[in-house]
Amino acid sequence: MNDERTDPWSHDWPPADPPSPKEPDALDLDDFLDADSAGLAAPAAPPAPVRRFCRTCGTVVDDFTGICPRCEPSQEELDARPPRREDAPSIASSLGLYFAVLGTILIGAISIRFGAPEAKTTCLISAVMSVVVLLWVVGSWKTVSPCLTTVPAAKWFIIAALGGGATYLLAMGMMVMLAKVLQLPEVDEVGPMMEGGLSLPVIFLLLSVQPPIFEELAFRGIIQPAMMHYMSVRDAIIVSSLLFMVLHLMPLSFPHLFVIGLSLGYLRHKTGSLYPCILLHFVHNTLVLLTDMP
Amino acid sequence: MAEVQCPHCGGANLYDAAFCEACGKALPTGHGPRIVKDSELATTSAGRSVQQLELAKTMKKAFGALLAVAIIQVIATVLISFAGNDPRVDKKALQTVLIVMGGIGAGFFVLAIWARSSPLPAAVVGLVVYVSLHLISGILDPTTLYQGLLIKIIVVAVLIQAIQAGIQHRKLVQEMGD
Repeated sequence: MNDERTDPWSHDWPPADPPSPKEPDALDLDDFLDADSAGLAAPAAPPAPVRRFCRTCGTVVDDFTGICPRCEPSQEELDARPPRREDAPSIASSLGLYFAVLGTILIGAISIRFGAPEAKTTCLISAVMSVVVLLWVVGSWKTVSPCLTTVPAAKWFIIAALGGGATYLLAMGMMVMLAKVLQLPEVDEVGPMMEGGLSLPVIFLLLSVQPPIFEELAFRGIIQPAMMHYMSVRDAIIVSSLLFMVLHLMPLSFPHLFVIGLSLGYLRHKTGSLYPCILLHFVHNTLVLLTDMP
Repeated sequence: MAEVQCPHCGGANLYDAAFCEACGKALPTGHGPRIVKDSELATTSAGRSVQQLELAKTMKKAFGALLAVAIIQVIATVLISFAGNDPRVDKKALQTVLIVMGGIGAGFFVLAIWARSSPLPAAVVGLVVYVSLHLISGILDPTTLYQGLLIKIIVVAVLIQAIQAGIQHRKLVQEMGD
């Protein structure tokens, strides 16, 4: 028996497009010959479709369309389905953003280790990181634009500014405590930059302006909404905070970085805007800068 | 593509058919009703619940991977702590290393526990932290990149699989909610 009929069901299941009602007419003469030689009820004219039972579940298929009522959605059902929302960036894309930023930081760290001038390299890392984040912002503009066009009530900005103060106090407390317990020298970011010949306004840009804007765009603007697409709000805030924490590569600062991340994530969720987050981050970083200034 | 002949009526069926298309009787092909591929979503309620179970199983593998990382990390911490007996080792530096390493181990334990209730977020965080840690240690000392390479590949592969299953699971749940 040589049944070489063309079967629309042979490759893709469920079918991307349900077959047109013309399908049963597409049988050729061989089918009838085969059906006869197999001793089946010979299909008389008008020809009945050969496919009378679903090969997946054994249910009797629709005589006319050949569609299984159990396994394959009808055209009406397909039409009734809302289109899948694919606006949010995928998890893969947000992980790509994270690793692109991490890669930039690590390449900078290697260069400094191998003798590149520290001050200039730091500026360069900031610039490259900003460009990387901007590329992703353009790529997922649909997700980012709502948090840039939304401006929340003034009370949220007050809360954010106070929150920045609170996280600063927490961070300082943690660092002082850890430094005492572990007898470590306190971390000083500003000193090496000053020695590297950077002026105060440049340091201000590098520590207080660039990180709040671009880290918030990345973590609260892209990664958090992407995660929210696939998990609960609570989990999305936790995940984006943990990524934010790890990216800073300072294990001793992890506890307070996580708390800052959670506050920022909560603000972003409550206000639907990035501006309070940027403000909180700015207040925090500026207070740290003022503390570290000689 | 091989075809299967129906033992009841002799009709030719596609190799992956579970039932004869001509007479509707079960075929002895041995692979039962067709399972949908990874990239597809089941359309029947029965298929959906089967697929959901499968995806949940894959997601739960994240728990095993994260727990394995935690245990390896704790063993490494304990081994390094023995270095404290060596008088040449700087005690303060060792203390910091131990706190960081022990903290990472504890963190992976927490992630493993979290993976039991929320496998997708735990797997995402676990993957990112694991890869970041090894990138950083690889930069500080390139020879560490090749240490335990097989374990690293397995952990990363299991976590990526768990994330993919989690995404698929989410889509399936959304589809079922529609």
